[in-house]
Amino acid sequence: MKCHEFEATIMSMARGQLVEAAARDTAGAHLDRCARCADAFEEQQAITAGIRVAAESLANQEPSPRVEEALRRAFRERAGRLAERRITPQPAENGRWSRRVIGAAAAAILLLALLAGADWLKSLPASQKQEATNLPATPSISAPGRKQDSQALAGRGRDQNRKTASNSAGPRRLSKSQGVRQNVENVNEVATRFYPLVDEGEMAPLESGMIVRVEAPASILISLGLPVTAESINRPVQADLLLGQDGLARAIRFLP
Amino acid sequence: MTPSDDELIRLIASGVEEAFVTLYRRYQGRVFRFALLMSGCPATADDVTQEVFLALLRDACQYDSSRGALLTYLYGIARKQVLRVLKRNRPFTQLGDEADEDKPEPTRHLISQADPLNEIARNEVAGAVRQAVLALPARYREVVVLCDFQEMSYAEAADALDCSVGTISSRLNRARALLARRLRAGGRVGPASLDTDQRRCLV
Repeated sequence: MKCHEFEATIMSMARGQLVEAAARDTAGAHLDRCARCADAFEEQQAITAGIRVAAESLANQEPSPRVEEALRRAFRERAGRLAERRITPQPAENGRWSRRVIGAAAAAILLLALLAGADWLKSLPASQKQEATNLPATPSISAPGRKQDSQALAGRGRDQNRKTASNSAGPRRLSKSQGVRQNVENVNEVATRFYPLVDEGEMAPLESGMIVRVEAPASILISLGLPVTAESINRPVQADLLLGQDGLARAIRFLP
Repeated sequence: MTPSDDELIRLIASGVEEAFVTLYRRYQGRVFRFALLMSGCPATADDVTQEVFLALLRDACQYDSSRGALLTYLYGIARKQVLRVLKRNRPFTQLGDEADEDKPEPTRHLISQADPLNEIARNEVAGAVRQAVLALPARYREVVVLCDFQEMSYAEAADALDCSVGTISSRLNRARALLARRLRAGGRVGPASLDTDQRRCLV
């Protein structure tokens, strides 16, 4: 065996690693014949011994207790932050919740309005009743659940002075077939745009709907981010609720 | 029954502090000693240990046991932290550079002359070896620390250092040759060859 062939084995043997019996025997025979390799082997054994001594001298070395304290603190802070994040709704969720609350409140108001409307219809004479139920339809409102429909709503919102046919406090039935173009000329009221009360995709697309005139507390304006003056905060506001085919409130607009 | 590393990692991700402490106590010594041998400074080793476990805390969910043992993962983080510290102190570093590696030095078997039963001699040997290791270039030092001091296999060291087993083997051979030369030279490896940080820590 030549010296350079032995070098690969010398390291393993000197480090006390397992070496195949045959390789060990061959290396042993080479060491007997080659003084240079024997010296190198001895030197490497000495290094291994020195490293073991040095490693033993460090065996009990550990980080100072302050490290564990700092890590425990960091862990608690992190756990606290995570728990807080789990409990506190995120801003987006918060907005969704407030909209749901508004939607539920609006639905409750709607029920009352429907009952009042039914009583009002009952109290009318037959001829007037016919007239009231044949109210001209207001422009059809697209479902806020669809993007293009939301844009349509927003477009209407930009047209702040759009007039609507809402002389009556009673509910009016809308449908797709009646279309947007119908009766826009008949309207004579000023209203804001419709503000969606539900997020896109949360409800089925609006197939047909109904607009109901209601009175709502002014706080509803605040929840939608609309300005409210100090004088008007206690006054109820007139609003139109857009109800979908499922009877749930989809959007709301306000009248002065 | 002792919980496995995987179980502890899962518990840590769920926010169980005791799991984190158990894992810390299981590996803190080895991570600290690795950092100490690499930096030569207990304060730096403290900082590195803290950073390693903070990183584990941050990324506990990202550790994938199928890609290697947790200790290897921790050594990998510790190594990066130590190299960052060494790089920061580089302007003052006079550790064994490339030109120094091939300089011939007189043969003298200092270590084999030490009496293993003599505590003083042992301390001297331990100190000489540690200083010789500290004087190695970082890429050789880390291999010696992992394979010889921490007794990792070549494959584990290769995982921790993100290189091939062949690289580990050749670096270890080279590192040990350098160590032999420095230890032969005896008193030649002294505080003068250490960087500012290490000198401060040795005082």
